[in-house]
Amino acid sequence: MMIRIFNILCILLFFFHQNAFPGEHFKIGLFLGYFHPSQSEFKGIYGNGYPKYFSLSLKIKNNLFISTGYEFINLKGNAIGEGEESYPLRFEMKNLPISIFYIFQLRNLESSIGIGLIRSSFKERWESIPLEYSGRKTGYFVFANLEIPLVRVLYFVTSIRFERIYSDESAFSKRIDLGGFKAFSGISINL
Amino acid sequence: MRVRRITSLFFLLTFLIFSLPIPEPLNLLKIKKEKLDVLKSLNIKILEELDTCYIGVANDSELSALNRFKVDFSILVKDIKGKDFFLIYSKSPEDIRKLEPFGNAIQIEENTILFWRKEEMGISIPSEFQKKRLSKDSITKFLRAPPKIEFSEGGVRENEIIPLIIDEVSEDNLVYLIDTLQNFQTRYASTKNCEDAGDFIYSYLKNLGLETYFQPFSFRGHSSRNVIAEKKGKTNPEDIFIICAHYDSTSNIPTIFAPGADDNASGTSAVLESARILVKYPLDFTVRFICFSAEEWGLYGSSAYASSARDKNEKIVGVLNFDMIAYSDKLPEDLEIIVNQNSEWLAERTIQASKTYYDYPIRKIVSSSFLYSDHASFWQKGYDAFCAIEDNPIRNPYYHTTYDTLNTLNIDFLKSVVKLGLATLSDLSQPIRPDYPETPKGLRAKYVVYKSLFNSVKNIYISWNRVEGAMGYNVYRTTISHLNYKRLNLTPVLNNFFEDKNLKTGISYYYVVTALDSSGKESNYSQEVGVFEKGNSEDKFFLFYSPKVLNDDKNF
Repeated sequence: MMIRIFNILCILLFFFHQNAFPGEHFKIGLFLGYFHPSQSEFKGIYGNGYPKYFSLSLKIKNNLFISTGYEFINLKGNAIGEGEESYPLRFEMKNLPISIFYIFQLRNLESSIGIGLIRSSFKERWESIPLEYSGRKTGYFVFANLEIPLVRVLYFVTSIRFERIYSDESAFSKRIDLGGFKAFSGISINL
Repeated sequence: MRVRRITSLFFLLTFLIFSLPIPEPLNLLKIKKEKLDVLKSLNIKILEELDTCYIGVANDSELSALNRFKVDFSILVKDIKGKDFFLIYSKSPEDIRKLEPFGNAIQIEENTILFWRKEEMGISIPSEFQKKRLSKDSITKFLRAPPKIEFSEGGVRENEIIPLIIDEVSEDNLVYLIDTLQNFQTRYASTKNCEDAGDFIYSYLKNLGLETYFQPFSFRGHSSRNVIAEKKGKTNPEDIFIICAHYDSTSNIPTIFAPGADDNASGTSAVLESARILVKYPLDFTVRFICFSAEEWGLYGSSAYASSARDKNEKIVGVLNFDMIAYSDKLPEDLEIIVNQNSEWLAERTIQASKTYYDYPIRKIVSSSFLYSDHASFWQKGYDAFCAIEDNPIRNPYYHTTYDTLNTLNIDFLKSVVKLGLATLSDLSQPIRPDYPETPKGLRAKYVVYKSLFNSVKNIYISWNRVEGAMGYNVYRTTISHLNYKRLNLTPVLNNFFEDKNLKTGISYYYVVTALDSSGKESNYSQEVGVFEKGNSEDKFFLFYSPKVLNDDKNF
């Protein structure tokens, strides 16, 4: 479902770009990242994680870009409790971010800052007993990118992102923030 | 100089008087039965729980808070000071008209009228009405969400001694007891005859060899006494079951002649006959035999008793109240067992005991609004209780008249009810069987909750003291206290501990254990231990009186 929405968004972005801004920049990126959850309960159960992220960006006006992408993360953890039992857990999260960002030159480096919305689909599963939960939630994020030119259209990109995605329910007496800090590194092809 | 001093003093006094907080008048409210948590958090004083509403009191600031939290309520009476309130059972819409000449009356539910008049005027409610004085004590902290009862087709676990017990019920003794009680001419509380009847009951119980005592109390300028006898449990005497009835009576000429054979020499005879029989049998848990006075004035005797029990933090597990159990308007007459939602397990347990030991038609009625006998005083203090009665609404034409005499009663029906009551009481208090393993003691539990982000499970660890000679143990669990225990282990548990894993959180679980000997004989159930999570609404209530309900490593 997420992939289908992502494909549709890519096509829409492509046509939007072709018709409105012919000849402008087009970025395709592939990234590996590091995820540090904001909420102590999340961190206590799953620790940090390593998300993978594919992005697609289009220049819409001067230095302004819009972007979408597809990100997924798999986490392993253990249920928390005061006893000695161990309950292994798995947490999968698939995200579809949509953002707008502004590019500015920093000497010969290209920097950008942006904001966006993130649609998140997640599933938590207890491995030793038949217990699972899945949900969907929309959050928001802010981010900053730094692009270093490598060869011709190939760029090395580093990015940091801060997300907030609050769940409706949780096993705790408060909502859980599924977001946190993410740092990505990868390559981007800018056409 | 002097004038200045006096003036200063005057201003000071004026300031002090005006700065004193003026108590806000209290209003009597009808509050819709919802948002209990809000009512508890606002500390609203609830006085009674009825089927569809609570009766509570609140001042103007509390009314604003109720409005703020969108609690559905209406004001029944503004400024309750100096007024005396009663709840009256209404059989027909005309009842309210009959009551109007005696005071103010409002219909607050289909079968409930609120009646009041000024305190100094005293009570003057026609004797044909069933009434209950509106308590002035708050019941808010005892209110809890009722358990969801799972109905069970089966009976209770059989104990070979119980059939012997119920076979001992003597028709002759029941007749003797009713005859003796009605021969006091009247047992209207406040009369000497009533006190004489109390002396007779005391002597009867004392002569059986039971530890017996009076509980004196006063009401409306009079005094009377409850008569209490106790048979201590051998295994866990702190768990108490009560069989009770009121021994006072009334009629249209109460101080002169009120034989009260059905109401309630019949119930009193059930208590005394049960005492006579059970005194011989060792039991696991304590049984109290109680005859209350001043019920007809507005449950004063039972109210004094239940308040005192709650003050002493006594662990009264269940109360069986018998009131009018010998008149039959049709044959066969069924027995009505009236309970509130929290006490429903007692009615179910009676039905199950009936299936196992003495098959008799029972009609269970779940109604918090039936407050017109001594069981209501126990409900008021958060104890579980039932009222066994021949008919509700009452169909005995001699009710509260001088014609309520022994010759109008159906003694066969009474005998059946006493047998049924004894079967239930014995099943609850558990006669100890010789040649069977001892009932396990010292059952304790702790729990650990494991949480992921979105789910949680609870593991419960229970342990108990080893029973000498036991070859193994069985562990039983239920989610409704004292009802429908299900065995958890497929083969006997060899150690004196058990782990119950991967349970749902947010649900309270109750456990009992039995011991098995080498021939496969199984002991009685141990004392029940309940496991509640912190923050669960039941948690506070049960911890209030049961130190065995815990989650404390030190006690494990």
